[in-house]
Amino acid sequence: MPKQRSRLLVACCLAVSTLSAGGAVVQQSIPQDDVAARRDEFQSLVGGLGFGSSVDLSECPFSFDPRLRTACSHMEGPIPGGFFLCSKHVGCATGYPPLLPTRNTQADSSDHAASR
Amino acid sequence: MRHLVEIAKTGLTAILLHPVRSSVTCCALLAILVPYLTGIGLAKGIEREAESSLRAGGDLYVSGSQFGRNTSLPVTIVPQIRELEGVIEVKPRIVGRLLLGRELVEVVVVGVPVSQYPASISCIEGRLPRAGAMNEFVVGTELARRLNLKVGALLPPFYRNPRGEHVSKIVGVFESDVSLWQSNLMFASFETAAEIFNQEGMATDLVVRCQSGYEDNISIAIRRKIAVSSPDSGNVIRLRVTSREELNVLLAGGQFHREGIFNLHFLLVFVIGILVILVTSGLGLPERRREIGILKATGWQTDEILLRSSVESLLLSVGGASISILVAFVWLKLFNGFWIAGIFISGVAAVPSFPVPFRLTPVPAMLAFVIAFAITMTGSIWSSWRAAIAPPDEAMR
Repeated sequence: MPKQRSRLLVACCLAVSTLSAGGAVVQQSIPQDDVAARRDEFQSLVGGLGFGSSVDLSECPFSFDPRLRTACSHMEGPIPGGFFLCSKHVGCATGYPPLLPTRNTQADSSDHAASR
Repeated sequence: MRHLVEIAKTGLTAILLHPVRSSVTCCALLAILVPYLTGIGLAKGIEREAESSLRAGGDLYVSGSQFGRNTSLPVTIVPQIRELEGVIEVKPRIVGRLLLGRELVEVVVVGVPVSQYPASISCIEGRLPRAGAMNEFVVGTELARRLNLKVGALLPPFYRNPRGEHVSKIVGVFESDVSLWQSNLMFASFETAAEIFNQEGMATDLVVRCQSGYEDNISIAIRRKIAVSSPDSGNVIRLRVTSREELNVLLAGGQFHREGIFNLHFLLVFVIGILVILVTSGLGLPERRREIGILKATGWQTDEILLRSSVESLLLSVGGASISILVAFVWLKLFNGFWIAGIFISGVAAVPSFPVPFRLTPVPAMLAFVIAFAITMTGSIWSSWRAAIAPPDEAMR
């Protein structure tokens, strides 16, 4: 009987922990409209700020927001492959590749302005 | 069928027969899964914040480029961009870096024209800055904590400007849950930010909102039709236009990039976990081998022993994974990611001053169960099978 009681206790603990874990995951799925609205309000105020897992502009503005700097400054030196040594985004929660350079058509506009 | 159910029930008994082994296995699963779940949860939370940043921000971002690096732009090009077909609004913006106080606290200064502020706002305790003689700022929560700033506080001049420096006033503090990126922010009017950095008439970028479907045309028109030169030297400044679509691609691509590194790291940890459970299951546990020998001697077949071992592993993995999810949830929600947030988010203290963004989605949770089962099964099934196929007298020796 005590053995059966122990088995029942372990089974109940397992069931409770599994249901609680499931409840925690489900709770995360419930949308919080008021928080989302204030979040959007803040972003609208500052014009869209922040993207990566850094909260300041020290050392690597790219890891804060690629709109401010399109690539990690360590890519330009002094150490080759320095991108992979930058502590601001390597090993952090988020990571993303540099923004691809766009085709430059400024030469067209310069010639156009000069010809006027 | 009933016979199989009865054998499966003995798997539960097996957990109780070796409580130390079961506890060690659970602890090993916790040590492996909790950092994984917290890291993935934080990554998902930051991703949600980034999605909000893209959604509520501009459609296009225009910045200057010299020698392939970002540079500032003269605000004189704002009317030229505003005239383009499909443009709704052009907002010049200053985003700069500053160090404040004796401890050289990192500050992100953002300046936006007062005329483009919203009519009402609820994400600030206090009010928005107004144009006037005095510099007015809204600060983030971390900055307010570290510099002991409250609404109404005054800051002595902390910048140099040939036209003179002014005392600054804190008129608001951002609500902590609006964004993690508000924590080190000093938000001001465009003119105030320009005065602080002594960059009159210049902006770091322009935030352009346009009508739906016009983004590509406007982007091409900006690059082709608008010529910009530096006001001081007259050198050409190339224009770079970044669209919301490009950033969405970056966000999606970053997910694979990040999770690739993450998963590689934890693959190594999982392999070590298998070895740990291998040791606790058979290689270092002769009692377990004798127990299997006794079962064989009393008539148990090899497949029945393996079923018993599988059920034991399944129950241990379910328990270990469930407790890991609960621990990760409690750590991030109730303890606000104490210490671990500082590892995964750069620039955050051990006790963050804002609610750390996290999201425990079903996929990582299910993955935790699968990985836990894979680890416990791999660690125990081989030793169980080796003991089950051995002659009973040899196993009991």
